[in-house]
Amino acid sequence: MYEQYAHVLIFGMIATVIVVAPIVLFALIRPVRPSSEKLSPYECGERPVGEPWVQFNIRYYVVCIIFIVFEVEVLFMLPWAVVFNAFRDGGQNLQAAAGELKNLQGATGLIVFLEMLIFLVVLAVGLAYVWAKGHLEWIRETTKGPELLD
Amino acid sequence: MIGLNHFLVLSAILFTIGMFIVMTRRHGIMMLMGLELILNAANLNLVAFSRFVEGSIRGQAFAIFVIILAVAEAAIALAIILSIYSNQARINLDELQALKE
Amino acid sequence: MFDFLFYLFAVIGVGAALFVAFTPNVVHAALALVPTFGSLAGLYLLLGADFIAVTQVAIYIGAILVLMLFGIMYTHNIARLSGEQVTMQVGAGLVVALITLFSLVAAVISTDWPVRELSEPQPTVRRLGVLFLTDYLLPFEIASVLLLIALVGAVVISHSVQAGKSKDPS
Repeated sequence: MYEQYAHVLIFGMIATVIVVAPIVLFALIRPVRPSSEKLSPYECGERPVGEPWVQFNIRYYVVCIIFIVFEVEVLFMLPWAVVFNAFRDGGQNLQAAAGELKNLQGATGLIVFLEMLIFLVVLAVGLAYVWAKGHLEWIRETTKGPELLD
Repeated sequence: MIGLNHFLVLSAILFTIGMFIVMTRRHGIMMLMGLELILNAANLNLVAFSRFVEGSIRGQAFAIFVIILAVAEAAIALAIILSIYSNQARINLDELQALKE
Repeated sequence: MFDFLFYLFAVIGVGAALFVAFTPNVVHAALALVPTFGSLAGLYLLLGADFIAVTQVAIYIGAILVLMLFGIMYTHNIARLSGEQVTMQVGAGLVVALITLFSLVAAVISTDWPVRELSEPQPTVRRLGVLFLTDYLLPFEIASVLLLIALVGAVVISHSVQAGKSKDPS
């Protein structure tokens, strides 16, 4: 198994070298004559205005949470998708894959499918809640009622 | 030859650093980072034991559930920290005294 | 090669974790967690846990760190909060941490672990899938309920942040 991941390691090493080598090389050979004009942050030629740190809108947090929850869901679906066909075929080649497992009886393709369906439906309830409460709409009215009309 | 002890000592070092962060930092998000380090140290222990001692992958399944727990914990804890910041303009957890405004 | 990679990942991970512990800048601390988690993923690969390594990269680096950085971006207001990112009681914390470390290491070394014969690590995704769908079915489904609770709870709490802001724009 290690041989497959040696490719990843070599890829990472080459990527690191490509990033680090020019920085080190150019730091060694370039002349250093800083001026205030050169050191100012580059904003497409404009003069930078204001603080670089702005407060983000809290609305991004909701989007971030939804992304994370469904990323975890996809990671759980990957092992399920890999073994689903073996369950559907009756589980002969599963015993070899999972030698330490004691009870496989009763786990047919339909049941395995339903297990995943329950998992997905529970998370879909969350998505439906967020959707129904209007958190998915980017521009939405935070206050409804008479004070808006005044 | 790298054995079980190497991984366990490394995990102990990471756990200690995480504990040090939680003890010395008062910034809410920094304390969360320390907690994540502690959970990672525990995960490294679980995976190392499942490789060197048990020989099955039940330890790895447990580690995945720990990761899921860390996701839920980080999401809720950050929401609480952001809510406190928005209501009281504080991120230093020692200065919080009121449960509600 | 195995030994070299172990020490490489261990040095990167512990060094970055120490940087997290001692840097005064919260953003640098959050970014230094990337090599920590990445080297842990490498260690998981050395232990033959390929699925956990991928999960580590995708969830810790891809998701939790994004959350942390968002939290820092939301709360990082230099004008008001610069004095609050303090490290306090470093001496006492260091003493307690070192005592904990020494006792943990002593416990690890003095224990006679029942180490088994090592075999070539096999890919784990199929075996994990079978485990999730049979023996660990209940934790698997409860994990989805936990994620549902986290989703709804975080959305409700952050919604109260927004509502509080629109009512009281101070």
